[in-house]
Amino acid sequence: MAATEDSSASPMCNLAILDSLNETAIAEMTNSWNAFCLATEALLGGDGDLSFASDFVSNVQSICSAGLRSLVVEHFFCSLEETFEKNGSSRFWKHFDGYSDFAVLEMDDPDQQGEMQDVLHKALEEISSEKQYQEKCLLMLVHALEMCRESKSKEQTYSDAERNYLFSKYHLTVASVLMASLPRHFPDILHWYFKGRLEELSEIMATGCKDDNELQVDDGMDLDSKTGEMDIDTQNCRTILGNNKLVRNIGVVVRDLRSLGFTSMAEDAYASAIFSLLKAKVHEVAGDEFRFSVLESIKGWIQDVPLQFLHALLAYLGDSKSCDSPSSGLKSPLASHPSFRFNGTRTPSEGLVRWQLRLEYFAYETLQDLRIAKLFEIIVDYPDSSPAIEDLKQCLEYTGQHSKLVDSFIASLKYRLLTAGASTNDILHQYVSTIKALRTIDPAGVFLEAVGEPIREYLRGRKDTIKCIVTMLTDGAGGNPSGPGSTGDSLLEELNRDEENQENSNLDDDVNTDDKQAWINAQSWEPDPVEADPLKGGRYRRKVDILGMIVGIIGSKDQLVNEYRVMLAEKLLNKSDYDIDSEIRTLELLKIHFGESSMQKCEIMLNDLIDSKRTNTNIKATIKKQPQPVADVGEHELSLDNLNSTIISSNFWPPIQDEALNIPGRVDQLLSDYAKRFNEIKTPRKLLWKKNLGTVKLELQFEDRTLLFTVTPLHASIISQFEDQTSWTSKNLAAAVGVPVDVLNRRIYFWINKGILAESVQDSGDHIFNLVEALVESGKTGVGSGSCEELLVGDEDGERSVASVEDQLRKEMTVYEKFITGMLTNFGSMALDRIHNTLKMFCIGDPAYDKSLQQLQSFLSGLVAEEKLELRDGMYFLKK
Amino acid sequence: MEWESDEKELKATGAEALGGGRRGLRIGGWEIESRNHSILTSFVLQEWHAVASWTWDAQDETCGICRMDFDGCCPDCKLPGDDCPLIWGSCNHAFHLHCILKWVNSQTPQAHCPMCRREWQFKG
Repeated sequence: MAATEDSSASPMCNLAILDSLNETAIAEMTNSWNAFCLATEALLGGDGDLSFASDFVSNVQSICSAGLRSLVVEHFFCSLEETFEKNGSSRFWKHFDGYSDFAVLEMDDPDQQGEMQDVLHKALEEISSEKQYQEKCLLMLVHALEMCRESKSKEQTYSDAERNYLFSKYHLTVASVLMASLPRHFPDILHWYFKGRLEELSEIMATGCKDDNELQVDDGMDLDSKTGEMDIDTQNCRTILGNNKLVRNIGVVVRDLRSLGFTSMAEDAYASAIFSLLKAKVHEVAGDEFRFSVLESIKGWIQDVPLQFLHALLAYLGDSKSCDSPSSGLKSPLASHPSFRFNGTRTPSEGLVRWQLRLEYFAYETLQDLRIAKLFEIIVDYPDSSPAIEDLKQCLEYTGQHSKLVDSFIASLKYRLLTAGASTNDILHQYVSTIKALRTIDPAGVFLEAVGEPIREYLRGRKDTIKCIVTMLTDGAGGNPSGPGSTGDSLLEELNRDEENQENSNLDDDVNTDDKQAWINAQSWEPDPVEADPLKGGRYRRKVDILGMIVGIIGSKDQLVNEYRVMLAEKLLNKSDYDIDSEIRTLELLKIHFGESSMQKCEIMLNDLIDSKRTNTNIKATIKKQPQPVADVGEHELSLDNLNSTIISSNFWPPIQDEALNIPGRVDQLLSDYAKRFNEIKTPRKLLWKKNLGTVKLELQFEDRTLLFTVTPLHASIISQFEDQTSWTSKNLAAAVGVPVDVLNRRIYFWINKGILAESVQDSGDHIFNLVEALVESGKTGVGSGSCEELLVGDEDGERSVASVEDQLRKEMTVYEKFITGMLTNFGSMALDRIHNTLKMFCIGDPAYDKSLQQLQSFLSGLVAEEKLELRDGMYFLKK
Repeated sequence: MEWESDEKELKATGAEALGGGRRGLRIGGWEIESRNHSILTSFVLQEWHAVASWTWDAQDETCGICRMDFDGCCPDCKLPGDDCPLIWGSCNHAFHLHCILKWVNSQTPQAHCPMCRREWQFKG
């Protein structure tokens, strides 16, 4: 007996002990071993029949007393595993065989879903009961082992540890058996199962809020008794899920899966189900709707559905209790919200907060991706879509994936906007909207710079860019009345309004001392976003300035001002009523942004108009003093009363297109009379008429109707020639009007289109114009009402009163053409900037070279088009 | 223009169509005739808004002192024309008023015309 005592003292089987055993002891041991094996088999194979229990225990004890304890445990586990493999796992998997080609099954079918649900429930129930039975057996073994130990020593702690060790070993065995035979489609089945359940839940939640009271009464009573740990939630009416059968079912499934060692798989399955549900929800809520903010409702939904579900689930599984201590350091971004409502006063468990963060991040990311993909449309709709922009801003604050935005937006810009089909106006409007929208997302303008660059680059290649910019800045209709953003206000007005608002809000700051301001600035300092390009200067220079970014397209404000001057001149010269209030307003706004000195010439132009009005009145006053003795020409005749003039200071106006023109003699007389009077009033100044400019209102009286036209002097001259003679050849008419034949032919179309004149071609090739005797197609020209007022100026090619900027530039640049050809003869080939620099260096005399690189480039491309130069690989050559 | 087809109706109202290729009707002793000839009878210029540029009636183009255009203004002025007038000396040389005043004030006791060195007298 001393030997056995030794063996029990040292559990490691010492083979030397075997030698000391006598025959009887061996026989006894063999017997009890065989009996033990049989008992084990019977116990495990039996259907819950514990009649072998006492037999089993005594056998175990006898073997243990022989020192073969480890052998017992090992054998028991071996047979346990074998039985489980046979009874448990293979049967369990057999349930799912029908779903092996799961991917092709149509899961939208609710019947099939329900069927699968039942199968899963049944299978889990079965395997769980099998496992419970085996655990009972294992417990028996443990008891037996303990009893045999207690008879000898009192090491309670050791046996506790061993007991845990045995159970965990068993669980490991179970898990490994199941895992080893895991069919590939099982995770999918779980995923679909959870997805189906969650969808059901979400539907219940959607309607649940209305009738959750009834639900609580129905389900609450019978469930409280079963799930005691959940009664914390019953007070909270929002946690109807806690009492829901559905959640309980899911809870059972998850618990069973966990106990089978599928913890992570189950978690993966319901996590992926939640995420796919969340994704679907985000897509459904956000979709193509940009006018409302969706972020809050998505967050609310996260609170209402998945988090409630998870809370109920975790509470059911008992996790929530174990992690009850308030989460340290890990704080939800929503934690401070008063609407944070899981379970009344209790702080949410850490696991739940983690889930919330995960879900919210996922929602942010999904929404962000959705919005970024649609950013182009969103910006087209701006400012109606500003809620969507706000959402995107918040999302990006969490996810930090700004670069994604930049890349995707640039790609869509290139694909959709920067194409030959888009009008310059549209591009500009989109550019401005982009600036406004991205300014909200990124006040430092870092991403804006990246996004704006391709647009700017593209716009620089368009000829009408400057014109469109000026129109957009100054014109109320924005030159694009149907386009977005044309609220009847010019961009300049808008900019000014913004600025005034800012000034108003900054009013308090004025009282601050510089030190205080500096301190505030220092406190609000934030580092540049990581994507910032260090080459582009610090953030102070990078303040987003819409006007600055627009001027940046052109390169310099001078070009912009120049273009504006030309447009202003055109507008002023066609005015017949001296009404320039809106122009004055625009000019004042431009002065604010571009400085007074650069707008000097424009100011003089407007001043000319004001002076003209005054002078005009003065001249009219002289008529009244000395009534015209020759005023017997009939009441319909033009007199000085009906003659007004705009007197300009030509030095400050853009070059004006001077065309010779014979105006009706009567008018000519009046003009010289007018000039004479001017000279009398303003000695020693005199007037030089620009006879081709101005507007003429004339009335054509027919026998049955009167038509009123507002036309250019040339048109008036042409039609007045028909007063005396109803038919003219184009040659004679041109001579009479004093313009070249081609000009006449072009302009006379106005009257032909109006149906006043008719054109016929003679055999000799001469065009004959006749006064139309019957006003036939009166409906077509819209003169049926008897009066027609139409301003027809500056709408046809070459009919502008002011030379366009391009024409001016070409004229000014021709001086340098010789220099350039000389240079290229000497050097062979030169790049653009080298030509530019050389011109700057050598043309310092009169006229000094003061053009910008862009201007030079456009001039050179003109020379290339004229085939004087050649452009290859960025180098200019002389054409041979 | 469907007089012929409506003759019965016309008669019922006591009117009759005009004959002889004329279009119209006779009713109660009045003849109403349709004319599609609308001949331009008169041509009235209601208003003529002309454009002119002003210029100083001086022999020279630029001011001899500041070398600026007469039609522009002197370096100190912003607006041309009435705000920056020309002035003639008795020698018939013209300058910007502001330019010559500056010159005259800097010359003591007697100022001379910067162009011809004759004594400066404002042309009365």
